[in-house]
Amino acid sequence: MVNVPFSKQSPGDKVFIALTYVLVTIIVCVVIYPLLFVVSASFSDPDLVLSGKVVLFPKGFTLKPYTMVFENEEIWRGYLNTVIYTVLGTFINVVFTVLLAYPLSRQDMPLRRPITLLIVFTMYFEGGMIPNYLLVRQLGMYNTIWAMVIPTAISTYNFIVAKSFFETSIPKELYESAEIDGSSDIRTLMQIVIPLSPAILAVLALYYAVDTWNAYFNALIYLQNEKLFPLQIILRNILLLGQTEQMGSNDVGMGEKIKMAEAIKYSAIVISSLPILCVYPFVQKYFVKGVMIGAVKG
Amino acid sequence: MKKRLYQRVWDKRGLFLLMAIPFAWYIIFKYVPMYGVQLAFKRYNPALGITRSPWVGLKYFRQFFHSYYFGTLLWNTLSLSLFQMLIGFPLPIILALMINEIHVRPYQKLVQNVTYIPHFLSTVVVVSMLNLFCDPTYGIFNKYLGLFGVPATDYMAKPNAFQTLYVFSNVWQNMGFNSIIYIAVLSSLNQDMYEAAMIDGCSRFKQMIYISLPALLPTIMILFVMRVGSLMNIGFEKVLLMQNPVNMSRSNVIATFVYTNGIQQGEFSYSTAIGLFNSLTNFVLLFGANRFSKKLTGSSLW
Amino acid sequence: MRKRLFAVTILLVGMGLLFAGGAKESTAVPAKTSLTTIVHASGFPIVSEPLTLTVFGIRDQNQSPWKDMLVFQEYEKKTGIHMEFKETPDQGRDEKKSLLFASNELPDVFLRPQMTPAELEKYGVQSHQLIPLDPYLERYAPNLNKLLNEHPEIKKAITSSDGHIYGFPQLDFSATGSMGFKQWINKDWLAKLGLKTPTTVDEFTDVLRAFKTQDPNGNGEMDEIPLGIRESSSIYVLGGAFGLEKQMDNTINVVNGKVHFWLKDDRFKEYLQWLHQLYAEGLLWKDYYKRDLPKWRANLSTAKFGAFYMPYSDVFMNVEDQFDGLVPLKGPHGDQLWVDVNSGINGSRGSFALSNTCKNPEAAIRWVDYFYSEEGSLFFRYGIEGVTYTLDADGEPQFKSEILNDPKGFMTALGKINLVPGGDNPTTITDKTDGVVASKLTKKVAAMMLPYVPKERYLAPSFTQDEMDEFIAITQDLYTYRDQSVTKFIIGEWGFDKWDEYCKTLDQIGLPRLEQIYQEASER
Repeated sequence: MVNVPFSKQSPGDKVFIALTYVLVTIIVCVVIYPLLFVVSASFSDPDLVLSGKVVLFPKGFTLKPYTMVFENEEIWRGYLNTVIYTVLGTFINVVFTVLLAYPLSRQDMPLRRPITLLIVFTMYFEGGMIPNYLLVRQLGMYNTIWAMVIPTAISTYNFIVAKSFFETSIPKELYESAEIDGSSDIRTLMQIVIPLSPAILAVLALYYAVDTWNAYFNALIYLQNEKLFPLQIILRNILLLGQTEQMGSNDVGMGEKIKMAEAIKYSAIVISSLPILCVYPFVQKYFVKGVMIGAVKG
Repeated sequence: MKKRLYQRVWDKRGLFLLMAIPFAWYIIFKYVPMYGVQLAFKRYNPALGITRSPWVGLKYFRQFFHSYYFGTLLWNTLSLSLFQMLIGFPLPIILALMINEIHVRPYQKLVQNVTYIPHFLSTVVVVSMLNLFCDPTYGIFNKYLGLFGVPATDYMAKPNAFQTLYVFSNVWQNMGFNSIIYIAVLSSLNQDMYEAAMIDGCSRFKQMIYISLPALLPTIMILFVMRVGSLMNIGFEKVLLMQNPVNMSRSNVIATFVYTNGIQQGEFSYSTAIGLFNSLTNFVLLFGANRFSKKLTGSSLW
Repeated sequence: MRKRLFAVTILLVGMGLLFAGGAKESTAVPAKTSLTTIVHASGFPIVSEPLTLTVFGIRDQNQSPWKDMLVFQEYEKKTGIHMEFKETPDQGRDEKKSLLFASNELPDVFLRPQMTPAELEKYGVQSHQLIPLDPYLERYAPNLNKLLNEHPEIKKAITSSDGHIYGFPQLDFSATGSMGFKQWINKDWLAKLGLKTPTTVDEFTDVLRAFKTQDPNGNGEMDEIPLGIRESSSIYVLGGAFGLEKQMDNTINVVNGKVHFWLKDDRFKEYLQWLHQLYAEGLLWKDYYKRDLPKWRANLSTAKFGAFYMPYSDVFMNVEDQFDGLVPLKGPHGDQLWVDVNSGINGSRGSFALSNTCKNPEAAIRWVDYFYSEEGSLFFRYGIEGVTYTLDADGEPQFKSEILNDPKGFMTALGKINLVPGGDNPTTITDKTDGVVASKLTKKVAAMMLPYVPKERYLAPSFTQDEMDEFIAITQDLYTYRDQSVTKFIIGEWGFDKWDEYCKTLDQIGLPRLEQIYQEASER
């Protein structure tokens, strides 16, 4: 980036630059506003939120929506389940993907092209929901943890990214010298390739973790036992289907309950999204680099 | 002299071993279910299983094409996808170009980081935010539009608003993240070109158009082709969450119809047929787009 | 040796395919009848040795997990049959149910699966995953058998196209239950605004307007919702004032022995126009079509509605005293009918079914038959005398106060005891046992409206297999189109200039043919 101070720019360029900054700033504001709003609303008095008085900052600061969420057993269980699925799932995801991408990234791998083609083909053609469901049932995974981590073990898109990464960042010479040293391919992977690839591992882990954390559809089809439901399903119940707790149907405090139900939505959103957003800054420096490398060649 | 194939494979048996489990996964979870595609041509009887259920040929395809909703579904799917592409595809590119022109480092980083955030929210969360914002009583959409005198409406209940809501919330969520690729390409460019242009008196704007943009072209084309190939696979999960009885006339796309009709109502064969139709159409579009890209820029998927 | 590993890999892959492909089909093995367990033809326990049956069903939001339910735990001790419950929550139940059948891994028993006639046809008659229950009626289900013989029209209604019965319904012979929705109006509001009880459609509209604008609940806010209708499918409830009956469980009038679908009639158009007017003026609950049950229940129990339709007052028990019944309204052509009537069946056609993997259908049938008896129905709906209920001075069962006034709500407390919340159970409801949900006021309201039900009641006919096929194919699309169109007309998304197009599309989907099918079937 050529750095010329603003004052020395030509008038035409000045306008251009100014315009760019303004537009970008507007975009930033538009992107961030809904987020800020949700956070503010989650800390505000429900009455004020419902009457539309909350605009940007919390009004009538209260922690009640959060305490209500924390008291909800379902949400905790969903949280725990999601954490388990994400940790377990991401581990499987990354291992499987690397094990598949590494061999296929090596130029000296026989049958490389046909096998890769077979894999990429699956991005565009699949058997459909019913056969997949039948398969999961027959493998005995229905209504178990495994239904949440195995059917989604590898994402072809991520595989492509990983493969490209290996192809471009591990020079052929490294493999040749490793071979001369008598290292088996497996050892090469473990001792040379992996240590050189924190970026791609971070990228894969992040992509997969986010997907697993946010997943709801698989659970809808493959899980029947409510104790296994992940967070997103519980959220869907609360946020979209309006089933907050067990509404005892002739409860006198019903109006109050409705109010709290609305308020809970905001705090539920914040609570469920927080972990991913927290992890993000740490992984950020890795993944940008990783995406760049993977993408440019992909 | 090249070794025989099996010899080469044996030499590299370590690699094959590493690959064995994930590859087996592909066979089991991707290829095996493909044989279930037969359902589209059979009248599924669960008691007989897929293999023994009777053949009915193209009956379900014909049923689909003759149904009164075929046109609507097709149109909904195509128009939504095209709309999405028209708006959602260029914007990340434009954003990347703009970000590239921000030379104040800290601010550039800030912009990037902020715009990436929405991507990490789950679909459930984003759709519920939409619901909350569209509420006529306290939603912020209505609040701000109300300042312009627009009467309060529940936009989630308006079929005509569906596509706009869908596309723009997608943009909000993914514009930043999708721009990463383009930013990456741009930041890896050799700066000499820019310097030369500047010396020649070229304005920044012109530099952007004549240097930055062309550099992105190959990437744009590849991504474009991939996009077209999934034209008919419009974000099923999000549409499903956004659907309600009222906006169905515009929100019902082929994928969601396959789900509600196939899984909820148990019309397995019928919905598999429709799903197959969907995939095949995707293929045709994919081939077409790739051809186009090849002709235009020489880059293609294969 | 060098080829070995390569061959092994290929073999693994091939095996994977073979294994998955071959093992894919788990075919249905028709169950043999009882093995060594002796099933007693009467009395308890039912079996001589402990028996376990797996159960699938749909659990209503208010019900607690079935294995924890008091009634079931007690019943297990009594019968000697252990039920292994694998029920599914209400959310996503359509998917779970149809996927269950698709995978062919069936439980022994289906309890409260809420089967529609189409499903019974599909899974019973066509794929034989459900077994016929009629062979067991005489010997093992004396209570149900007796009731069915006393009411042959019900027996006919639950018979599928091949002449067999695949599902048992919930029977309702109570006077209150003979009517579905009942009409309620807030008498306190009427009094406050000095209005007299409306008797015609126009008077009713005026009253609704008054409710909306004159703040009868006195809280200074115009938060009253004059007319509450629960969901799209309930929208026909006022049709009686326009002469639109619901014979044969469908939008049918029977005129001179001819089956007539009135979906294209001018009367129906008038009715929709009236509803549209109500909606446009903000008199009809604007969210009625959104199927937001919790909101509906909340509005009921906080007395937000001026007039509404509910079968029982259990949901709004706490504000019940503000309401009274309303005699059916007289319409513009002088009709004064209440059309939402049941004919002995309350709920779906199938609240109990057996799969072809059930090894002991006799035991299962005996298990459920008890609930159709007087004593069994009392047990099912009320629990254990002295523990959950007592008999009052009139000999009527009343729940104990700790249940009625449970802080979490009566329905939740009831859900710990039995399956009654949500209804649709394989049991009989009589005047004696309907008090679970029918308060004294509800019974009064029902009595008030009873004189206005149609004189003749026609049950849905049984179709042959071919007719059923056509029926399913047509109604799948027809019902969806009908519901969507009706909603659009009412909320104003479609103007009535689209009426002709609507009628044409109905014809295109197959309405005339459907009418013909009903006609032919009913004449048999």
